[in-house]
Amino acid sequence: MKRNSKEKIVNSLELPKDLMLGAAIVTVTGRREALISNYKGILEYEDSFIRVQTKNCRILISGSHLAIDYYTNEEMKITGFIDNIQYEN
Amino acid sequence: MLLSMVKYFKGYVYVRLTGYAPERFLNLCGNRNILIWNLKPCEEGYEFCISVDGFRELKPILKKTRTRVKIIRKMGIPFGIYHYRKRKVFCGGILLFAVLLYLLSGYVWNIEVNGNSYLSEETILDFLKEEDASFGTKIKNIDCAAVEEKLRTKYSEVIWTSIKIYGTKMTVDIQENLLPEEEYEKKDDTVYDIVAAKDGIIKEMVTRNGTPLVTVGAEVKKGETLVSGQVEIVNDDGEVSQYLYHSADADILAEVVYPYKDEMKAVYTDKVYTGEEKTDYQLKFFDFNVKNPFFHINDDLEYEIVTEEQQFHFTDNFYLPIFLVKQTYKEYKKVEKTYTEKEIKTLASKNLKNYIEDLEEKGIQIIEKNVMIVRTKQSYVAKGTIRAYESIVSHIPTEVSDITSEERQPTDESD
Repeated sequence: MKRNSKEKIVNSLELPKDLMLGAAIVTVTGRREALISNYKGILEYEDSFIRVQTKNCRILISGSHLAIDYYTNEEMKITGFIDNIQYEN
Repeated sequence: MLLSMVKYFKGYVYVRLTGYAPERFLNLCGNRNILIWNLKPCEEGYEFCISVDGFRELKPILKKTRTRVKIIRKMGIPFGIYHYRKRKVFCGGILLFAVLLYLLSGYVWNIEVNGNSYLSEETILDFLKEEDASFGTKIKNIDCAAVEEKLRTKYSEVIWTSIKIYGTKMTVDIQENLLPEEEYEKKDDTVYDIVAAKDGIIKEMVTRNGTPLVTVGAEVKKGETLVSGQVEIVNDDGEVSQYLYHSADADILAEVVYPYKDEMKAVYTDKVYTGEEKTDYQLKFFDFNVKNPFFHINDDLEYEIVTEEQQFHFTDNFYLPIFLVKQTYKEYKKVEKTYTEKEIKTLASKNLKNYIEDLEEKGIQIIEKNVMIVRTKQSYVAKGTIRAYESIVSHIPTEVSDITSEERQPTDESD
């Protein structure tokens, strides 16, 4: 209930959701590049899938030949052939 | 691009991570702001690139996550330097290169001349050479302001100059006086008469200054005085009281006759090219020719040789003493030939036309030509006269009578 009210306030004030709610931003360019920011950490990483933990959920990116181009505290860039982007609770 | 350059300069390592919790290791790295790139999973763990500074901070993380890193490859300049630390000659070469670059950049290697139209670029380059400010001169030793001053003094048509040296390039900007200076009238006191430059009959005469001694229609000989610089002043009794002197000035057009004679041999030798051509290339250093050892010509045959030389140059005008010489040998045979009547006519009229064109170029107006072709035993002769109108003005100093020389008055008052 508390979270809902916070969401309402953020919505009505049009504040950036990634800052206020800790929402992850996934930017996909074509099929070969994905940029994830506002994440917490990597849970699992293999050639065929990457599981990333964010504040509210997990993001599973599956495909083939996946590699992490760079990896910092704020964002990471994934390259490779992406088949699937999935949100898990 | 820039980022990868920075990475290369600071040095980085490609490592393999193995152990118990590699994901946790990655997250910790992220948390501590250690940059990791080119992360790839491999059989036992992960492989990634990490900067040297980042690598040094890994120790506590490795302990915490019970993982191990192994360096696969070292990349970047710090490792390169370490690798080549024992190569003295290599280091010396780099040092020598730097020193040479520094030393050579202290000389002028390129000269650009702008804005010259009367003065040729060669003239200016020669001038610079004389002033020791040409190619290969130390920039320190060139006093641009002094050279500018000298350039302006030496060439009066230059009204403004600017010599700048940027790097190893010298730029000479020139502003020339586009209206050429009128030739100032001779300032000395000498008075001139006008005499005939050629024999002829005067057809037109306009006298502006002086006493005319001949009239239109008069036949004059070469050297005869036409207009005298001596002006008589007559007193009331009709006697000459004094003479005034000032240079004669007149336009005199006369009819002049030019004799014309052109002799052409009926039998002549002509070159007939066989069509055989050979080309040879040579190199020339200063005056020394390097011959092509593989090139031979037949000494018994006759050749016409056309030589083209090309000089190598660094920039637009820095010429090196190296030439590429291209010689084309055209084989020919000497053949004796006789002109036909028709050929001789064409040749004669061509020669006459050239002669007349030459005259016309000098400002001579042709009014009549009378040329005939006569055949003698072995040759043809084109003979005749050409009548033309032309100016026959030429100046010589006036003889001044002793009596009046002291009484001479300024020219302004005499008008």
